[in-house]
Amino acid sequence: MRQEISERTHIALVSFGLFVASLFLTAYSARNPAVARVGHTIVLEVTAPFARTANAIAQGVQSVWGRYLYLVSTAQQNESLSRRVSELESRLGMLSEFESENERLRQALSFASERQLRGVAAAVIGADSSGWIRGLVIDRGSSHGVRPGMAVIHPRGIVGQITSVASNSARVLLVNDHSSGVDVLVQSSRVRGVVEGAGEKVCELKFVTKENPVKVGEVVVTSGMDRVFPKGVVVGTVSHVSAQTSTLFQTIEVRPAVNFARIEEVLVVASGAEESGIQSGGK
Amino acid sequence: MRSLLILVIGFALVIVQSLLHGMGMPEWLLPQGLIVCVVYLAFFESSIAGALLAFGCGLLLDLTTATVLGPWAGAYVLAYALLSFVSPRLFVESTVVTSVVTGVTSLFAGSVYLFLAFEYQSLSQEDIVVLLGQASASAIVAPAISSIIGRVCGRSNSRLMNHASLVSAV
Repeated sequence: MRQEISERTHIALVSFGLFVASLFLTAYSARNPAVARVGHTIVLEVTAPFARTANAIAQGVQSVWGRYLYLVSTAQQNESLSRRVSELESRLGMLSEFESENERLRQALSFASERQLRGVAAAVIGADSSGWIRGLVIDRGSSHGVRPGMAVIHPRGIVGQITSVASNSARVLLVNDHSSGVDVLVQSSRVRGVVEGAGEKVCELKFVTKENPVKVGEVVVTSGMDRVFPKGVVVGTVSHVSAQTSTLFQTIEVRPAVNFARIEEVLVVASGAEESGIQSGGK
Repeated sequence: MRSLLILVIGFALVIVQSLLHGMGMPEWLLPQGLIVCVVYLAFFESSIAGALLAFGCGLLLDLTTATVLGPWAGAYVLAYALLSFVSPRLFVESTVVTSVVTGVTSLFAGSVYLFLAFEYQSLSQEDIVVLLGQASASAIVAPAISSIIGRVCGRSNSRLMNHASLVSAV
């Protein structure tokens, strides 16, 4: 009994020590992001091949499942005809998939060239595993010129920022994450503020005083002042505005222009300081 | 060796979670596989090594997700410490107990994580939905994952011996 109590005390002491260590680690890695980045890079390097393979398998299973159901329904009418139809459907499906991928990539690259941005197109290969951090994993990394701090955009608007990079993959912190912040302008009135993540489908436009009224439906674009995102890229549309009497600033909700759950390709663009490192048109 | 196997299983669970999330599963429905590992450790590996492993599981989640290192490690080790204290009073072989304890532990660890990671931010309604949803999802998958861990790693004899000594004393 005494031995058990002694063992419990040891466990409690060690656990307390580890908890304190975790607090120090949190504070230290928050102040020195490079330390956390090294760890993230190692894990990303190890997990990216698994994520890529698992993603391919999942897509294959989805595809086989879809085609199986299709064949079952058509076989009831005519077995031989259905075989031929399914073959053609399959080819057509692949072709239209290639066509839409081409279209998306062309849009992304023309978007970049119109704005004279140098960037690398990347495919989304994974998402954050905990669900607490809103992030994505893309299939381009340091070997393609991607560096932490680079902006990630989509023809419809901004997506987020690169937080850690492995050789062939990188992690993107989405603009709707709580810890994201983007310097923005309201397009029509040129009122300046900072957009921060506030939920899965909503962001908050902060630090806009009541002297600068903002209307629902106005478009919010990047200001370029943060030297991360290029100027003039759409962030989203104002969806709700309220001004309480007790506060100095307005409470403004912004609905992001990009549906983060449905993006497949993105464009990683360099800020002014990092443009030299990127290989243009990497995909 | 058994300890390493638990971390390997944890690592595999993190990849599965990432895959599920990537396939469109909403974040509030995402089971936290690593919390099941922590519950298993508290039930069957109540030792200093178990505390270190729980810390390792948290650190693994920190490394794969967060922008800072430490919050999940702290949350998991705290959950482990509390669970290892109450586990001698629980019938840990029961799947219902495993399920309920995993749900409660997931809620607890998630709350500690929120406190450590978003200390200066107010908690939104969406965060609470994610917290409750993930706890429920973790509770549902816990018996299956726990059983897999038990089969792959084998269970520590110390807990079973304690039970045996209690029974013989009675």
